[in-house]
Amino acid sequence: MKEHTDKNFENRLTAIRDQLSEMSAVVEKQLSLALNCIKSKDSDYSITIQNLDLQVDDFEKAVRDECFEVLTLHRPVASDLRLVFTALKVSKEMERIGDHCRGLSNKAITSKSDLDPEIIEALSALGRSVLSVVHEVFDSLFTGNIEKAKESWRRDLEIDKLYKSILKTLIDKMEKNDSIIETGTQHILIAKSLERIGDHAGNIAEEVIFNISGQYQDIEKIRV
Amino acid sequence: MVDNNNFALKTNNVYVHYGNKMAINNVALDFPKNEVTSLIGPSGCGKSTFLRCLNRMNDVIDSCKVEGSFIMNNTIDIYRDDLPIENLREKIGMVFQKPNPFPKSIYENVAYGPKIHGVTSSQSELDDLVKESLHRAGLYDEVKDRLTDVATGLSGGQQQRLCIARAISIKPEIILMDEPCSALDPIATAKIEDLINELKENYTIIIVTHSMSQASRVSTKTAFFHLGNLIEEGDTSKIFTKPDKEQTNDYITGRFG
Repeated sequence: MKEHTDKNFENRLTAIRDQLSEMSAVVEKQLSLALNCIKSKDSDYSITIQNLDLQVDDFEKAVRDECFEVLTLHRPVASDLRLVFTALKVSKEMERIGDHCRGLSNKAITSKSDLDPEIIEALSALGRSVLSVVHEVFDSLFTGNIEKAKESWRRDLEIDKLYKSILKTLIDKMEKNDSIIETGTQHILIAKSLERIGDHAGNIAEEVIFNISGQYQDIEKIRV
Repeated sequence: MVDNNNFALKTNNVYVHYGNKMAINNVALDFPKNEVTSLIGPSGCGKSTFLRCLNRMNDVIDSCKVEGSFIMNNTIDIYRDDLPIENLREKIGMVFQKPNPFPKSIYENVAYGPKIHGVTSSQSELDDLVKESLHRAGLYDEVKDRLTDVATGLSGGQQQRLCIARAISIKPEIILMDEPCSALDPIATAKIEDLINELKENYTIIIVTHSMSQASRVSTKTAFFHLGNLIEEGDTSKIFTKPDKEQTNDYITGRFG
């Protein structure tokens, strides 16, 4: 695509893309550290995640303010309008992913270590799937790859299945052994946070598809 | 299946040359009834030349050669040799970039066309038509007490609405507008745009504009011209959100390099 004749407008759109890119890198780092917390329960990770979350919040505000100014001063249309619209919505989804990372890392480091290793491994596997989908959807956003966005949307189904499986296993174990109810409940909430992060990645995929195609597509059709 | 009766004007295989220079290259564009179609594109792209073909304004330019098919209401070939030009202009009116009222009274400006074309049969009928046309152009309340004043004393925006009243007084089917707001301030522009929106209930409007935001505000269809070619046409909402052609996207987003 050609550059804008109005360089100020071009620079502002570039700034929005750059801010989203930096924000996505911080969010991915948060998620990666949060997954470490599930296994190691290292409080240093949690502190780092909280500090990164402040950065993510600042990025979201910066993207919002820049988009508002671009809408007001440059009145974008077509591909530029779709970019601004997408940036506004995607930055909000990223910010929510950051919140979930902070929440699940807090739960992970404060929960007791009285669960079977297989549950922890299942949670870690769910986390790896979520991280992979998040990475893939961010990649689709910055490379404009609609097929990759659709694929990450489909993969959200796998995440839902893993989550349901973990939920069932934990409930079964808690029914049999009431001493692990407190820790089990904490880990259900951790699994739920990961599943919600997958949903946010799906929402981002929807926005990426809109940014490229100009249309919102039926999620169920793509999943089939 | 497309219903041909829904089109006020259909054009096909249109070529226009000024001497040896090609100004329009094989354009086919149809204009739906009671809708506003915007023609956009950079200076020299051929949009005004094309607009002027639609009521044979180019006939007076010796070096201009127009070819192609221009069919009104699915039946009338507007370039037919035996079609009197005044009859064509009765059906297809035009409003120009710069307001051009006659140096006559406000009343006479609007009454002139109906008198020439014999639209009315009595003075009271003509009075009513002048009043109705000024009403429809959103000007009556501002001039009702000074209909005998000279029209050139009106503001630019009022003069342009007077020209629209003059155009609609002979009850055309199509109104061509060539950058009708380019000489007006934002308030007068807003009044004209509001008027265009009301007029489309009764007329088919084709407007040439350099203002992309005006095209997006007033029209339901938009056609993008470049170097004499029709690059893309379609629903305005689609053209301004996800045009099919990259060339269209580049132009409307301001990538002119």
